[in-house]
Amino acid sequence: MVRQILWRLVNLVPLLFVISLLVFFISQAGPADPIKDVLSQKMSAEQIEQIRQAYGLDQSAWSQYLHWLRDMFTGGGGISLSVRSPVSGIVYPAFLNTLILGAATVVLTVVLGVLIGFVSGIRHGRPVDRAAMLFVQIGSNLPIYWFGLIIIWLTAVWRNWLPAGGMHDLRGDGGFGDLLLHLIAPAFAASLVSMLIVARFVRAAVIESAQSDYIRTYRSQGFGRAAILGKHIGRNILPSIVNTTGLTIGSVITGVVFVETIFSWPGIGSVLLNAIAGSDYPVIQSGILLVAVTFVLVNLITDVLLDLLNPRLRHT
Amino acid sequence: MTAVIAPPRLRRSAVARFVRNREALLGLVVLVAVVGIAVLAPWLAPHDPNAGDPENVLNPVGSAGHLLGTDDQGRDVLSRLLYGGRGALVVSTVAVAVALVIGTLLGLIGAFAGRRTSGVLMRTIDLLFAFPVILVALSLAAIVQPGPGVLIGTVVFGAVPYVTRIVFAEAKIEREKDYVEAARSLGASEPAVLLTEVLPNLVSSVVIYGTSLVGINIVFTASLSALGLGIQPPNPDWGRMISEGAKVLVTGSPGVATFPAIAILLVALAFNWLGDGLRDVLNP
Repeated sequence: MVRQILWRLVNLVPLLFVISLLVFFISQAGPADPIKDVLSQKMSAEQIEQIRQAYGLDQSAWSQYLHWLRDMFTGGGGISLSVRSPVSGIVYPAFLNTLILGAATVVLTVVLGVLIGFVSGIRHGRPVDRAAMLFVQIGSNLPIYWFGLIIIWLTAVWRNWLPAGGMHDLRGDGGFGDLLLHLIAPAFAASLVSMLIVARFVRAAVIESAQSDYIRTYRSQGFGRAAILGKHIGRNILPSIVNTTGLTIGSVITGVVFVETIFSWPGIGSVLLNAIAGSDYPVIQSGILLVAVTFVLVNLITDVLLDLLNPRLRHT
Repeated sequence: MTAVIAPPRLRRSAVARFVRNREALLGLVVLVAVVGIAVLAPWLAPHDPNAGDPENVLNPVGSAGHLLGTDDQGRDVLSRLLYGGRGALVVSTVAVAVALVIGTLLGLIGAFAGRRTSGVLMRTIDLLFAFPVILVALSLAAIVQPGPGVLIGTVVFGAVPYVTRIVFAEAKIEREKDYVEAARSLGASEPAVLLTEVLPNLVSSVVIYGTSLVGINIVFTASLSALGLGIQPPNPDWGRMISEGAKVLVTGSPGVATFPAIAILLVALAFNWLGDGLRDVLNP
């Protein structure tokens, strides 16, 4: 078990190396000269050369990469080209906000996905199931941007239930309850696609499980419906729920970035979009690297969870 | 006698199955209509889709001369809607076609190459499988400027792992079949076996999967365009229309953003229906 986990950790090293190279490559492949693009207009060639040296842009690509990697590890990430303050001060707070929204999105993905899938699975073919499947079909083809707008309209304009956007109420105490209230709508919008993927998998697993021989045996022995559902079907599909949720992490991250703009959530998605508009490469690279590494780590956690749930590996 | 009659009857029944499959037929009809509208937009549109009119800003639905109203710059929503599918349809179809070719090749290589190559290839595909494609879109937008190229690159990157896996799984099954052995024993080279024997047996699965992929990616690229990473203004585009209509959605002009959203939903559903129908007909 422990060896298995350590082996997975070792396997991450080459992957993280490749990702860091690709992210570093962004600035090398981008428009010829980031410095010239941002602040050249009224400067002499000499001044530009000085700035290039200050940013280390006069060195070879390889040594720039090593410098950049060291900066990333020590928590700096260099200096932003557009704001001229350390990248870490821009990227990390925004990343933390994105993590909060992402965590809430994963919670809603699992809770609502499993709920929809379970209910429609055990009511296979009944009206509830058909209604749920219609929701799945329409929901997974809805443009998320419009879906977010409609949620704002429903919950903040038509009815005054939830705030229309942002992370905290400006006049509020900025406490946890306030944050939770601001989280509901964006997390729901961001979870739409992944929630429906989970729902479809769980539904199929429940239907397959309910038709299997061992469930028929339990039923014939007089076990109640609830006992069978909770204890046997539930336990059997747990690994596939973990697995499917792990597979939707990419969709969750994509959904969160889409939703941040709509709900003016001060997260990494908004930061990255602004940085792209301003060709601010240090910010773009740090932000993308941070999210990509998070994705890899979440995948690792999913794999370890699956190992833990696998009884064949439990005693090794 | 029956053996001679059988093949044409089977073929006819495939068409019959398709026509009887109401969802598939509906999907096909919707798509033909949408493509027709996109092609004929210059003749169908009552106004120039990019011509603003400061006098007629935010006209309601059903106003004179503007059947679906106007947006906040006074541009005719119906005209923009008719034009707005062009970019999305072309970008998604081209990107999915490229992804199908690359994915099919990789899947075939994975299934027929040696254990070593195959292992490395499929491990890499596994890693890319659930990768957050938005990161690819953002990286591409930073390298080349935001535009259709970003959309195509992102869709290709996102779709290739799925296509590869499907082709890999099916090709592995085909590999064990007798006709492959027969072709080999007749002296066919390995590439010839792959391209002339195995590939034709996979085409229908690939096409079916590609059809649903186009639908999924029309929705996805619309969101990228809405964020400003895709098709650029002033070109009319459904995704872009949603984010442009966002400002006025809550202030009493919901149509500006909602009509393009409905168009996207309808086209995506039509591709799904067509894909499902084709699967019933071709791989019953």
